[in-house]
Amino acid sequence: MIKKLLNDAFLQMSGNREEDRIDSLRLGLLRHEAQVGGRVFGEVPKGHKRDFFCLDTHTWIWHEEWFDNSGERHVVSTRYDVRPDSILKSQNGGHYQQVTVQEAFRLRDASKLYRDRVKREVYNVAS
Amino acid sequence: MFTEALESTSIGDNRVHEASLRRVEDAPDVLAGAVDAMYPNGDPSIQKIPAAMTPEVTTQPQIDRRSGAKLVDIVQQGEVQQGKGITDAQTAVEQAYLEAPPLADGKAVELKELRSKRQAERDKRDQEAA
Repeated sequence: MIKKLLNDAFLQMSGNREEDRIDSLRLGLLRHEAQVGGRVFGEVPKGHKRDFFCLDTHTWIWHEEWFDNSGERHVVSTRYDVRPDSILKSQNGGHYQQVTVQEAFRLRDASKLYRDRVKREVYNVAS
Repeated sequence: MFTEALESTSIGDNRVHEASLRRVEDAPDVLAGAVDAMYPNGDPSIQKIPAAMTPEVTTQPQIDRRSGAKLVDIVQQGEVQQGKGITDAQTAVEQAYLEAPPLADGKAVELKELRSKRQAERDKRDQEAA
């Protein structure tokens, strides 16, 4: 009886460890993509940390952190939700608004660069 | 390097790897599809030359059949040189016409007479209008 309980517990823990490991791998890939994506828009200003990545096929994230001259920390996190016929964005959890024409086209171009670079630098696949 | 760590992976890891790569490949197409749906005619902020202001495309020098004068090639790839409008283009044609190289004697005289005649007609119209 005890042996069976221990066996079940061991199997469950093993399963959890496998799930944790896969989650960790998924997160690691996203982090690495975000770093590569942050450089898509050109050189990141000194003292800035910029991440850009697609969370899923319909969600893009731009996260930027920096310190101003007075040493105050700033964080802007922008989420783009891609709908079939529109793109909405929300900053720091605020209300959603439609992206401008220029932003839509720049985002489209950036996403293509992101694909090319991430495939090459993260997944080692030629575009 | 992260890619090196990916080399020794289990079947589960391979699935994560493939799914992530698929996401990276598909997401830009989904985004481009949305932009196309929003702006089917492309970026409206890029100014285009209206059709009425786009002269006929030609890369060959135009020759005036009557005088043989070279009108020079003022039109390149559908755009008026220096981005100017049709009025400037017409002025440029006239200028090129006047600056055309000397013609054979007979034609030069004929051209001179024609210019004088046109000038007289313009003067007459201006007087009548006044």
